[in-house]
Amino acid sequence: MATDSGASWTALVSAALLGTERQAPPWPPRQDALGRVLASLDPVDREGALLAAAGAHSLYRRAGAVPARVPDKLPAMEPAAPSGEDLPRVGSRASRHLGQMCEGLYRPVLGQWLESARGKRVPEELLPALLDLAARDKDLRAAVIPVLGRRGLWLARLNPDWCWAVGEAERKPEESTDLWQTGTFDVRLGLLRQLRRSDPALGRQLVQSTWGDDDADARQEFLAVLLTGLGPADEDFLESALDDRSKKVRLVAADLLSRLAGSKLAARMIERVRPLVAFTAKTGLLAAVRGRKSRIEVRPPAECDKDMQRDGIEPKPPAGGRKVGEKAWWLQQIVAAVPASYWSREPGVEPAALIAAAKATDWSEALLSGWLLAAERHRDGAWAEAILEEAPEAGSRLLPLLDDEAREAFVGRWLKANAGDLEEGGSCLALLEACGHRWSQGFGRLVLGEVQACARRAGGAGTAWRLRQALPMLAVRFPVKMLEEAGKGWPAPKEGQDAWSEAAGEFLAMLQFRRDMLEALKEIDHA
Amino acid sequence: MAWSSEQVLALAPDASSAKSGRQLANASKWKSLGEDGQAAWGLLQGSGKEPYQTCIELAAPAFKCSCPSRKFPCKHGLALLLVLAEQPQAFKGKAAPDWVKEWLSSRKDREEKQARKKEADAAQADDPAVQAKRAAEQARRSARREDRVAAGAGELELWLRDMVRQGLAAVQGKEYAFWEKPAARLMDAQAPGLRRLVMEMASVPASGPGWQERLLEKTGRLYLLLQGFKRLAALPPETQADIRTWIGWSAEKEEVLVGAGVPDRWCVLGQRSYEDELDTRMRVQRTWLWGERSGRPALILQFSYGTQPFELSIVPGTALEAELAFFPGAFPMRALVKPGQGQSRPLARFPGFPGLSEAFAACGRAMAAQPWLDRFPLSLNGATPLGAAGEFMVRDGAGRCVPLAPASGSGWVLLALSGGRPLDLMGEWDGGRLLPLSAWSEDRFIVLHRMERAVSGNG
Repeated sequence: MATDSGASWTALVSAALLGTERQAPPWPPRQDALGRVLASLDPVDREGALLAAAGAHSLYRRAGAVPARVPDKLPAMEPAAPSGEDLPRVGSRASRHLGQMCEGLYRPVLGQWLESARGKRVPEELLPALLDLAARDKDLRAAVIPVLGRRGLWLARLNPDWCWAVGEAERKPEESTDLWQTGTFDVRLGLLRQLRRSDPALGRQLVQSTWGDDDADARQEFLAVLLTGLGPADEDFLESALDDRSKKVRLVAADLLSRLAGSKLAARMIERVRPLVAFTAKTGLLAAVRGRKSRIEVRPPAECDKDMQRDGIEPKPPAGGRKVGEKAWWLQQIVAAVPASYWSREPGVEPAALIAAAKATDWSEALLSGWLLAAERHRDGAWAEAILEEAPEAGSRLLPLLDDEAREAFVGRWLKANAGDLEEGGSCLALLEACGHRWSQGFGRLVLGEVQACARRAGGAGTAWRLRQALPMLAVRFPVKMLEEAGKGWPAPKEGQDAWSEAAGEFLAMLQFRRDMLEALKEIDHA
Repeated sequence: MAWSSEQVLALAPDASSAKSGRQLANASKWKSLGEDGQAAWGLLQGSGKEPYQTCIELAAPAFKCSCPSRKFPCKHGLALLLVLAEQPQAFKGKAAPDWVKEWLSSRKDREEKQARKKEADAAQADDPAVQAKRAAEQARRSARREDRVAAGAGELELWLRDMVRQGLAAVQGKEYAFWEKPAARLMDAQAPGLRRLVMEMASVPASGPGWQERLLEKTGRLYLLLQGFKRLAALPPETQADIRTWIGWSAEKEEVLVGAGVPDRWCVLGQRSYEDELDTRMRVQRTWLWGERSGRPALILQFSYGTQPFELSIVPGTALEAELAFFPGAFPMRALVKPGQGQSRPLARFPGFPGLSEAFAACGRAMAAQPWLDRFPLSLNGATPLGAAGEFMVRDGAGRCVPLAPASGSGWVLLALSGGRPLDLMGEWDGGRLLPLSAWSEDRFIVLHRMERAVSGNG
C-alpha cells in the first residue's frame, strides 16, 4: 500500500532493530524531498537522527499511500439477481422483530415468523445472522429456506457453512447426481431430504446408485430419509433391502414397508395375525340389551421363524425397562405392522370396542402397544383417539395424529377431569405442550381458566414450578386475538418475588409480541 | 418528534441497559400507559409491591423513574420510550396523573433555579476583582502544568532514545511494566495524550508480522510530536493547537463554541461507542459527519463517565441542519454542535468519494497537514464488497481495493447487502484497514457496527 519509500526505509528498520549502539543509522541517499530532510539530520546524534528519519518516513508513507489493485487471483463473482426480480422484502417492523429474535428475544416464535413470512424475503442485513442460526439449528432450515429469497441463496453459495440452503430450484438434475457422488455425508443427506420432497423417484434412484459403496451407517440414514415422500414405487427397493447385510438397514426397511398399507410385507403380516387374534363382534341394540360384549381371543405365536425375522420381527425382547415375555413381544410387533384398516374391515367395529375387548385378555399390553405404533405408522386419527383414552401418557405421539378439533376436545376434557394434575406439571401439561396447532378461542379460554385457577390457588406462593416455566411456551399457540382477555383474571401481585405474576407477565409479553409480529408481517417494504 | 427504536437505543448508557430495555419494551408489561404531547408515563410491576412509576418529558428527553437504579436513563425509561416508538397505540391515557404533574413542575422549578444561579454566577464573574483573582489562579495552574508536561516530555524523549539505542528487537520480550512505567509518569506529568500514545505502542510487538515497521512508525511520529513541542513557539498556531491536543491539553468547549460556526446539512454517516481502553469507566462515542455543501468531514467526540448517557443524541442515518464549531488545528475535524440546531431528517443520499484514489488523496492531504491523524472517515460511493474464506475487502469502480478490519464482523452483511453489486459505505480508515460503520443500499441506511455488537455480544 505504501508508496516507494524504498531502500532508505528498509535500511532504517534494520538499523532500528539492531540498535544505534551497534550501528550508525545509514541510509542510501535519495534525490527527493524526503532525501533533503534526511540529509539535514545531524548524523552525530545517532538516536535523534534515527527517530527523526523514522517519523519523516512514516509521514511520507502514510500521506502518499495509494490504494492497492484488486488481486488477480480473486475469482470473479456473478452478481445476484436484482431486488426487482426477487421476492418482496418484509417491512421494517417485521425486520425489527426478526432482528430481535436473531439476538435471542422471543426465540420460540421464530418458527411462526418464518412460516408467516412465506412469499416474502428477509432483509439482506439479517441474512448472515439467520443463516448462522439455521446452520446450528437444523430444525429451522426448512422454514428458513423459503424466505431467503434469491439474494439469500446467492449469499449461501459463498459460505460452506450455509450450503445446505442452496436448493434444488437452483440446481440442474445432473448437478444433483454430481453432488450425490462427490458431496460429504451431510451434504448428501440434505440433498436427499430436498429431493424426496420434490422428486422422490430421483431421490430413491440416487440412493440406489451408490447402495453398494455406502457403508451401513450411511445406508441406514439414507433409507430413513425415504420416509419423506414414501410411496408404492419405493416398495421393490425396500423389499430388496430386507436382505441387506446390516441389521440396522433391514429394520429401517421393514419399518417403512409396514407403513405402506398395500405392501407385500403388510399382506404377510395380515396372514400372520389372522390365526393369532380372533375378534367376535357383538354389535347392535340386541347385544347391548343382553349385556354381551365383544370378545378377543389370542393365540400367541409359537415361534419367531426366519421369515418373520426377515420382515423385521425381533426375536429378543428389548433389554432393560419392563420385562416383556417373548411371545407377547412377537405379537406386539406383528400387530404394529398390520395396517390399522385390517381391524375395522367389518362394519361397525370401532377401535374402542377392540381396546375394551383386548383389556379383558392377558395380552392387553402387547395389543395396545402394537396398535399404538400401527396408529402412528398409518396416521390413523380414530385409533389414536381411542388409545389416548387408555394411555394419555402417549399424548406427544398420538395427539399430532388427531385433527385440531378432536385434539382440543380430548385435551379439554382431560384438563377438566384432572385439574390438580396441571398444577403438578404432570400429564396434563405434557398434553398441552403436544397441542402444536394454533388454538381456537374456545380452547384458549378453557386453558386460560385452568391456568388462572392454579395461580389463584397458589396465592402468591411459588408453586407449580413446571407449569410456570411452561407458561410462555403456551403463549406460542394461544390465540393472539385473546390478548386483552388473557390480561384479565390473574390474581393481584403480592409484594416481594411473586413468581406467578412474573410468569403471567412473560406469557402476556410473548403473546403481545406474537400479535405485533403477525400484524407487521402483513406489511411489505415499499422502499 | 417521533422517536425511532434506533434513536431510543442510542440513549442507553450501556449495552446491558439496552438489552434489558429491549426486554421490557412490550406493552403488555406496562399498566396505565399514557401520553399528552408533553410527557409519556406508565407503571411497571417490579419485584416490590408498588409498581415503578416511569415518566419521560418528551422534548428533552428527560427521564424519571421510581426504581432504585442509578443508571441514567434506567432500563424502564428506555423501555417506555421504546414502547412509545413501536406501539404508540398502547398509550391510551390522556390526562397526566398527579405523580407525573408533580415531577414535571419540580423539574421546571429546578431548571429555573439553575438559570437564576447561573445568572448570579455570571454577575459575580463580572466583578473585576473576582475576575482578576480567578485569572491569576488560572495562570498559576497552567504555568505549573506547562512545567510538568515539559519535564515529562523530556523524560519520554530520553526513554525513546534509549529504546532505539538498544534496538527495537529487544522490545518484543518485554514485560507490560516496560511500557506502563513511562506511561504512569506521563500521567503524573499531566500529559494524558502522550500516555495514550505510549500505551498504543505497547500492543504493537504482539500484533503479528510486520510489527517492527509499525512500531518504528509510531515511535518516529511520537518523536516528531516531542520535537514539535520543543519548538512550539516557532510553529504556526494551527499546528501548535494540534501538538497541544495530542500531548493532552483539551481546548475549552466554551472557547470553541464562541468561534465562527460552519452551517451545513451535516449527514450523520457513522458512529462508534466503546469503553476507553485505559479507563473502563469512561465511554467514548465518535460520530462522523459529512457536510453536504462544504464537502468536509467532522467528528463529534463525546465522553461519558459511569452510567451517564452521552450529552447529545445524534442518530446515524440522519442529516442535521446545524452549525458546527471546529476545534482549532491544521486539519480541523473535531467539532461541537452549536446550540439551536435545526431539524434532523432521514438521509436522502449518501455522500462519499467516487473512488479510493480520491479518498486516499484527501486522506493524504489531511495527514500531511496533521501528521498524527490516526483515523480518517472514508466514505465511498460505488464500492463492491468482495469476500473469500472470511477475509473481506471492498473494491471501487477503478479496480482499487482496501481490506476490511477482520474484527468488524460485518463482511457478510456487506456482501448480503450488495449482492455482488456496488453500494455506498462509510468506515474508519486507520491507514491499513477499513472498519465499516454504515452502508447505503437501495435507498436504505444500514448501521453495521451495531450488528457487530449484537453478534459478539459485548458493548
